[in-house]
Amino acid sequence: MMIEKNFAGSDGFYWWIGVVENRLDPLELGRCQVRFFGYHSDSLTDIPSKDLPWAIPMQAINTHAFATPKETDVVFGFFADAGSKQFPIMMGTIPGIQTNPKNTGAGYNDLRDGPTVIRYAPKYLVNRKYNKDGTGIQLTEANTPNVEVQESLRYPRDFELNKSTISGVVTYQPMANNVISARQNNLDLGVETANGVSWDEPYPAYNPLYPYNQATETESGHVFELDDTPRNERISMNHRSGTYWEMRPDGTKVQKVTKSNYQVVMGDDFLHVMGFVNITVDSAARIKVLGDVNLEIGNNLNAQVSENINLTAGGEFNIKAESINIDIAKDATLVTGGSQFLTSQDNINIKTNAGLLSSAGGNIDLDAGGNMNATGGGDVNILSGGDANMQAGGNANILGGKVNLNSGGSAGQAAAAADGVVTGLAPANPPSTPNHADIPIPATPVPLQYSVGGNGAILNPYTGVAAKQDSQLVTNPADPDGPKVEPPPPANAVPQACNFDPSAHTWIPKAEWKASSAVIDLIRKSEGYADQSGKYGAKPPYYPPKVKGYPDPATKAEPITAGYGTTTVALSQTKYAQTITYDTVIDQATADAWVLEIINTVVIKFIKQYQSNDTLTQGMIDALCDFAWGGVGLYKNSSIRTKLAAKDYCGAADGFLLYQYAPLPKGAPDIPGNPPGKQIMKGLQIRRQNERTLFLS
Amino acid sequence: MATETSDAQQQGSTTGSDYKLNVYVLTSDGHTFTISNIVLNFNLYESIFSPYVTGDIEIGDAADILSNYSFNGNEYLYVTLEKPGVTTFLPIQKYFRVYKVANRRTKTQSLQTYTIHFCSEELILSTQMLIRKSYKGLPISGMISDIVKNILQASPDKLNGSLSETSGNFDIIIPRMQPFEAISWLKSRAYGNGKTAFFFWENKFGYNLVSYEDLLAQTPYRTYDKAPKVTIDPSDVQSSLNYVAFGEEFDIIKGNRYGAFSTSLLTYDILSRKFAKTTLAAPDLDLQRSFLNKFPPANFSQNRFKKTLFDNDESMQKFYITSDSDPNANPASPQSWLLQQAIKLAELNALKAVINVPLDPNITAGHLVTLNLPLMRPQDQAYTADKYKSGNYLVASVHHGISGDMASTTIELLNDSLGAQLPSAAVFSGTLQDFAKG
Repeated sequence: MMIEKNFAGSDGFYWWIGVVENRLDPLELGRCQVRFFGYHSDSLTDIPSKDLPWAIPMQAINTHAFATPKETDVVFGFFADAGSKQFPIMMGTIPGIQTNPKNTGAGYNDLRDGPTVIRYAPKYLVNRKYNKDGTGIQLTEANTPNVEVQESLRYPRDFELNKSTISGVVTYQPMANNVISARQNNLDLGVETANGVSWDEPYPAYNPLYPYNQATETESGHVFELDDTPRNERISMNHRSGTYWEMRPDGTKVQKVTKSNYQVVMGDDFLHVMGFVNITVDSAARIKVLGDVNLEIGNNLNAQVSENINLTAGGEFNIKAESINIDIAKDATLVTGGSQFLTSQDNINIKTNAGLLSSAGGNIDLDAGGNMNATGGGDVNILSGGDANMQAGGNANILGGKVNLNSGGSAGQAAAAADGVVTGLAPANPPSTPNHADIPIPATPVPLQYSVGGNGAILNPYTGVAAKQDSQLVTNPADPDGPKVEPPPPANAVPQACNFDPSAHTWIPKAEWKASSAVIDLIRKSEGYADQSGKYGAKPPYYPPKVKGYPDPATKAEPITAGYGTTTVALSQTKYAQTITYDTVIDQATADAWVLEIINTVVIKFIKQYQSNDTLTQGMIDALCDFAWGGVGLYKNSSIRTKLAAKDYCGAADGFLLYQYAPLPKGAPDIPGNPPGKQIMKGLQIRRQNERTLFLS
Repeated sequence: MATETSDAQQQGSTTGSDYKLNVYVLTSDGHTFTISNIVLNFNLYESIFSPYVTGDIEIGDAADILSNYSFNGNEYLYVTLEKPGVTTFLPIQKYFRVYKVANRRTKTQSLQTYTIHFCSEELILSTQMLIRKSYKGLPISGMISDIVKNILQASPDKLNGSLSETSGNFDIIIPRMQPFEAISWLKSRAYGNGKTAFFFWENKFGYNLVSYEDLLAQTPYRTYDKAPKVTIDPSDVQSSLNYVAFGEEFDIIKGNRYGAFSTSLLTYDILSRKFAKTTLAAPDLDLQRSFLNKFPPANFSQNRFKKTLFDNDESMQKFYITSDSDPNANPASPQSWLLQQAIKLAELNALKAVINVPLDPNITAGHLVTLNLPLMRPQDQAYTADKYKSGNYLVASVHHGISGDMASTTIELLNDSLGAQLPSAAVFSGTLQDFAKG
């Protein structure tokens, strides 16, 4: 007679206790092969481990979380088929003290074969090396495939023998090299913050009292704790690598990542910090924001940078402050691609302990609602290729032992200083002396007119001072005391090819002569653009876009130059002019604008005046503009102009190559093949060659 | 209520003196002696439902054998039973094991009577051991054979029975069962090609594992005719029938309860989450089986719900948790054996009869016999056969009994069918009230 009634649930409840011998369920349902006490024996002959029935785990009703016991775990359950006893269901595990050493010769043990143990057994860590060089932790686990290690992974593992099967984390007996002890022994101490304060990674608050720490410690060493120990209530999640977070008794949360940390938020992210935020990055930090960044700071924004600060704005760079104080230990350069505006509702004070240089290829407009004071311990030079406009609502004071206002525009009414030159159309009541107190405040801005000095240089309308451009000329052997003249061709000059075909070019009538962007390109190549430190000749990209005035690269002194060799700032030649000083700050766009404005308002005017040709090619116009940019006087007196007037195009082109000299340093011996007191300046040599090529293009 | 025909109770009876019964005793301390001359009663039992043979001997002892030979239950008996001069008699020659002495009574100062109970030695062995063993990829018959031969290590003379092959190879772990318990558990799950149920039992030939269908396919061992005889021939043991008694006939309630007519099986595969209901009615099973006789023991009359006995598949319902989706599922799916076996075994109880015949040691459990039974009739009317109950019967158990004045064999018979088709109304005709109204 069969025992069962053949109705599940009515055939009685037959429970069992057994030992898990294998948990590698081919169906991956968490089943385990269990050897039952009583129903089975420990005879591996009668019941090999592989023949044991698969017991299905019963799960908690509030979760589908996967969990399965491990080999040698004692489990309890019942038979779903009460009569047959072939279909066991596991209900739970039974803890105990593991006193039975591993034994592969009988049932109720971890009987996995060696390869299975090596391949599937979770490996515990034998070492954690906390690298603090940014590479993160280095882990070493027991996974060497030899018999010794293989057996060390078999249950019960050596360190588990004669111990409770309950995790040592619960009983405050963490196993050796446990992640908790690893945390304790590898704290991050003395982390410096930006304000000089340092902090320490808190010592783990781990101090559980049995039985209040509801903890799980996995085979490979992960630890998860819900600790209700009175006055030491904690929650912690520890990865065996040492990465963890811990919610401490006082609510503090500590988080440590022993390798890299990734966080992706596909929606919004909100963070409210009511106290301080301390961030210390041992290496570099990269922050990229595709949208706006709005930074509101209740108090100060203090940034201390050991090296450079590089800020790049694709659009405007706007700074608004009650006051801006910039303390620069060395040079400062402001370079703009367009115009540069410095506007103040009050005084603009420029003070330098060395020279104050202002040079503009176009107009120099100085316009102040209040006083405008230019004070120099040495010379105060305002040079403009176009008009030099200086307009002050209050006083316009230029004080100096020698005050030169030199404008390439119209002379207008000029007043000479004691030992200076004032040319161009001066504002009403121009000072008769360079005493700033004598310079009246014009009722309305009066455009400055540029003029050309005796040597052809564009003169500052106020000072009448011309840029020093005759350095490329040489002494006239026939009249050593007379004006300097165009240098002769170099003794070893090699004629260059010239295949200019007039019929192949477009000839532009004089009324339409205007410099093209080719001039800007050529000037950029030749003059270069100063970088933030005022270093001459910086190449793109230019950081930052604004620069301050800098000394003439050739003379290392005046005229003070900004942008592309501009010595006179022409913010708008119809308003006022401003002399370049060391404090002049422009950006590249401004520098470009200066060049074009001065060339197309001043330089081109002189070229139209002095060049008798009715038509020129665009290349010729641009080449002449670039050449005259260095000095209209040079152009006026050069063979370039005369041969071009005679339509000796190749001769005119070769004329550019004559202007490549710079003075030798004082006391330096003459160089054979070079005119006396002269040396070929490499930059000029290249520039002239480029002008020749542009001229014939 | 039993129906008994005892009008010829003494016909064909034989006495104990017609047979030669020898009983030898082997005591646990090595003595051997015979007790043949002091046997008062001898009984031997075998059944298709029992894996062992038992018996008892009543002794009239004037030598106090029990004490003088220190009987303690470890004695062996060697029993031979023969009928001198009758060559058709197949003698019984078997070893048994004493397991109990009971009913010891003192008759006089020098005489006592008691009963020695004995059994197949394997029964005692079976109670002394437990099986915890896995079988992988074996048919049920292979597992039973292993238990008989290798675990019980049955004596060679008991391996002359019939051990049939069953179908299917299974992975089964015997979960701490005694050998005979395990065999019973295993054979209940055995099936074969067209075989619905298997029986395992011990008889005079040894151990047998035979399907129900193979039992039915036998040629009847003997025909017992209850027709009146003119003369009594003591040698006509072939047809001598001392009495016939019917213990149960068509117990509909028991038939319903045990699924004789229709049954269903619910299964839930806990791994694949598949629930299934399988139903089986006896007429459907009839298509693929044979009966002892030609006609089933029930008809198609309808109840008030216009349903026949075969339309009530919930009369017996089983429910099994299975794991068929597991490629290593254990045990064999109940769909393959449970319903068929239930119907067949329940049907086998349709008719239960007991007959008593002159001692016939040749007949054994598992035989088929034929009964020719008359209808009850007045004395002056001619013999008329009972067309329903006359026919073949399965010998479920055999009890050989010998005493000083009588030697007979009592046979329990089972039948799953009738010799004629039961009539039935096509449609339920109404109520008894309607009938009473005429």
